[in-house]
Amino acid sequence: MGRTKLRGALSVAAALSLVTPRAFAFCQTTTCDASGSQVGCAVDANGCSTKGQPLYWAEACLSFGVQEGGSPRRGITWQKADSIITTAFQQWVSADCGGGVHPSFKMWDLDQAYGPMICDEVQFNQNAPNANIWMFRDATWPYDSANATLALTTVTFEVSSGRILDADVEINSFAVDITTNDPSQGPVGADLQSIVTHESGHFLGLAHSRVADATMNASYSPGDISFRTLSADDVKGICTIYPPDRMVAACSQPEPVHGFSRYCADASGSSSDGSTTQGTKGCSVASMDRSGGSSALATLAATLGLVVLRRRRATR
Amino acid sequence: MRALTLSELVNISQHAFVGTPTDAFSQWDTIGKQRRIVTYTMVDVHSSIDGRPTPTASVMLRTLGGISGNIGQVVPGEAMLRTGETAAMFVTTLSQDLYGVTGMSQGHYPLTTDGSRRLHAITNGLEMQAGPDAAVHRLDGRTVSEVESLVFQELTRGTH
Repeated sequence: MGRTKLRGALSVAAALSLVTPRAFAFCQTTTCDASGSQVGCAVDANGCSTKGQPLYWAEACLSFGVQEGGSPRRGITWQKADSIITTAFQQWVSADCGGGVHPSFKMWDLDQAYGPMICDEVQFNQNAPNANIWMFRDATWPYDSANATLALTTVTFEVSSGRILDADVEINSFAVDITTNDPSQGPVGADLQSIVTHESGHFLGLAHSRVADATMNASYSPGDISFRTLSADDVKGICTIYPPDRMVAACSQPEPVHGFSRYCADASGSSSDGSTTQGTKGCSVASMDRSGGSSALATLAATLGLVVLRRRRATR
Repeated sequence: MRALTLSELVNISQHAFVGTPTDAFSQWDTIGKQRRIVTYTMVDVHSSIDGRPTPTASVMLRTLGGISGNIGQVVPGEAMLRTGETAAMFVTTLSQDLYGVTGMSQGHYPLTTDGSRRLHAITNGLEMQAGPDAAVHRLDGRTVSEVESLVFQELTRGTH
């Protein structure tokens, strides 16, 4: 079976495994959560959508990157933000699903291999490379309700399957007093580690939970750092969406839809660096990004990046 | 999301009304530099809550997220305007004849269908400081007439 066919078969199997009933309060986002105009949608007593396709990443290798600017307004460097976001994802990756096993996905920090993301836009390019980007909004909040929004996660998905194709997160550093310190170091405002851990749950397909101590609960109080760590409800949620025994191809290298680029694509479907997917198939990370050089070099860089990441985690 | 107080919700909004979404469509749109799917919902306005009537009997609201072809986008925290579901809505002007729901889900309160016409808060967002002053707490479970009084108090307080 070719790789594409295998992936398709595994995706179907994964989708089927996700629609089994469950008794916990966590909610998995579904296609019904995209808008209220869809017919046949409903919610249960926990406020979870009970209809529509559940959203999930089909791949075992997921990736993210952090926009290079960080947040000068809040004194948050790219390095600091990257470290915090990596730590947040690690919470979900290392969730204990019982018996010492973990959810069936890994996160790759593409910044470590290719450098910070240049693109600072929410994008899903249907004919060009993509990246799952975390970015700060320092100069302005581009939507209404600036004073009401801490962060905004946009999850793009395939309607027919619920497969997540892309996820971008905007953090409202323009209007919100975001802090990164521990309580022992000084006053904590809107704790970035807490916000990011919550938003990374959305990134992975979780909706809000009504369990009071859940990181995915909708209520967050300033100064609170409890969202930094997962509750039992959060762990049940992530282990249900990505069961350890999920049939999925082994994690080798992350591959965003249509390949990867850390540059924005323009309206014609070309990246700022001129790359495009037209005429290419099975684009690898390296083929899309000028910083990557050859495929072999990119693979080596990715491997080195992973090693660096592991060493960083080990030293925490 | 950060929880808006009732005072903030009322004073940020240009209109507050009871209305029913009648039709909606989603499409790719550019907001700022962001290319994203948004949903445009036509809402029939039944009555004003704040005494600031909308210029037309029907208004168009734009919310983030939606489905276009086989691609969909979810934005957790955004208001879910369900076709046929009557709700109290607080809206801000985005451009001429186009409005957004103030504070995303914090500006949208479906009415109960048991005849009492009470507002039902859907806390579909990450909130901060959701204390007793939060609009979602002060409006949840109130009747439309009670909400009209509360909103009037906030508006008159702002003029002193």
